[in-house]
Amino acid sequence: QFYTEYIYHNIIAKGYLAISRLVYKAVDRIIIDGFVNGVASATSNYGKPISRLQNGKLNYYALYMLYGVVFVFLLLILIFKGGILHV
Amino acid sequence: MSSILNIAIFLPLVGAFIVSLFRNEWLTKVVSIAISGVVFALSVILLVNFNPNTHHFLYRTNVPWISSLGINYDVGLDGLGVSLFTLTALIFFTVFIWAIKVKEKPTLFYALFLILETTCLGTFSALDLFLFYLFWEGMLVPMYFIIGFWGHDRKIYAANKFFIYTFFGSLFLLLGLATMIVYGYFISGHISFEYDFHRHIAYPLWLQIILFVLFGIGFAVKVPMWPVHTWLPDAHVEAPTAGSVVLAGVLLKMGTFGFVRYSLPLFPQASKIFIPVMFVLSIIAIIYAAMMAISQTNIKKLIAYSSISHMGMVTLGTFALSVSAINGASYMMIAHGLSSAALFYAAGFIYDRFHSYEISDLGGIAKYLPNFAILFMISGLASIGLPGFSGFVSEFLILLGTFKYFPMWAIVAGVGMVLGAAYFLYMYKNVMLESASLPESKIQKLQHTMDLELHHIIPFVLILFGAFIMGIMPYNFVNIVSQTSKLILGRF
Repeated sequence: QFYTEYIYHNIIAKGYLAISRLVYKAVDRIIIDGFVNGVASATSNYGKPISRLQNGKLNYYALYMLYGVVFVFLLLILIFKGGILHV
Repeated sequence: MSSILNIAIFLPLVGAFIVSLFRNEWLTKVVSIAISGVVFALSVILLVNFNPNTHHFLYRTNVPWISSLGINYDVGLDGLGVSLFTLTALIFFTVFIWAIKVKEKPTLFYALFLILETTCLGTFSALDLFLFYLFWEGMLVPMYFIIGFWGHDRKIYAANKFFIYTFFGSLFLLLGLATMIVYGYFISGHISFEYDFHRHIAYPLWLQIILFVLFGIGFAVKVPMWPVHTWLPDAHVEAPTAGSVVLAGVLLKMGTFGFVRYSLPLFPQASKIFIPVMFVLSIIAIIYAAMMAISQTNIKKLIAYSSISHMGMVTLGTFALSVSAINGASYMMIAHGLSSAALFYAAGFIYDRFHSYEISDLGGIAKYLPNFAILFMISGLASIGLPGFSGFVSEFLILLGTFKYFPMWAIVAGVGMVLGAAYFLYMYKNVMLESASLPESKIQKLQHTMDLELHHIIPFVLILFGAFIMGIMPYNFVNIVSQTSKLILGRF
């Protein structure tokens, strides 16, 4: 039979299975799903320190608001006077 | 006729309120099955009366809803819509029959599925962008609870992943919709969420590209296309059988439906630019997911990856931009909805009887459960595209349509399909056959296992009958969707 059975079973079929399993573990689980779960845990890890900003003290909130207002004004000045957008 | 469509969409929602009043769980189940049966009958009426020679939306209802914002209650069906509408009604009808023995919180289970049915039917028939998005997002809530309450070991992880991942995609879709509405306001002076209105706006190319990407991310997560597919295997493995069936049979079709209904006709030039990207992602999905499928040890995960592979075929056909390829893609949405539902029923039956999805725990089932073995085999062959079943027709049309304009891609996809057939035969061999090498304890157990019961047989037969009818007389069904395909291509 010119070893066709042997080649088929042991090289093509088993090789295909082995490559598939390797790709599943390396690419699908570690790279793609690892990235997805990494984004999820990064969000919750960064969220924890940032959540301390919400400390219930009104004077802090007023300060954040001031920062925000200054930022928006700077942005508007940049847009209208800085020539980013010609209006 | 338009009132039939409205009744069919909202009857399940009304039913959800009705069954939640019942104290008797059998009454809940019987009423739910009856309601979904009525909805299925109505959808068949809509399908039979559908005029395949028009490209207009039929059964149209268009009444003002939030008129200060230009939002209307606008529903109607075109060829693709009516096909998916009927598929949804059929899948839900079988799901309610299958789940009749659910023990935990049966009333809540049936009520959530009834709500889910309304949102699915609504997504396929909405012609107002606001209404579409409402149904599209509304579907996440019942599905989240279905996976989270009735799932298996890692159900909370899977439910959260499913929800956050698909919600993440939907936010891009929302941003795209908002951009579109604002642009429509700038050029016409009034706010309109109407699909018809936006279809007749010629967007400038730069805006089309932005919108295509935003819509595309939302749809691609739902399809799911490679590489945003990893939520699907997790969600499927942990979901209860009924949830998996709806997920594979109906929810995945929303993404591909979105591409055909929204991306292609609204952003034709951008779609043309993105053909190479979509083709590469589709081909990767077909071959890569087929390889992932065969390397699984969990049968549900295997079927989940096979779904990704098939959906790659659908996106390939959609972006080949020829009438027969888009017909084939539409046909494959229905065909895959039927065959994957049947395969997930089979996996669910195996779990009910043997409490495991692992291939290594199973084996030699065919000898002891012959009825199940036959139906499982037919489901699998329908899925891998045996002539005589709907899968074959759709694959043939997609490859034919793609070959006309992009022969190299069609050849690669064809090779991928051959690899695809391997995983089902491999699974069937290891799960159902090889009874000679079984240990004595397993044989004892198999001899005392009951074969299919009536509430298993009815869903199987209904679904496989649908796949068979669509396989032997494809002309009638292709005819229904072909006007939609022609209309889309008229824009190019």
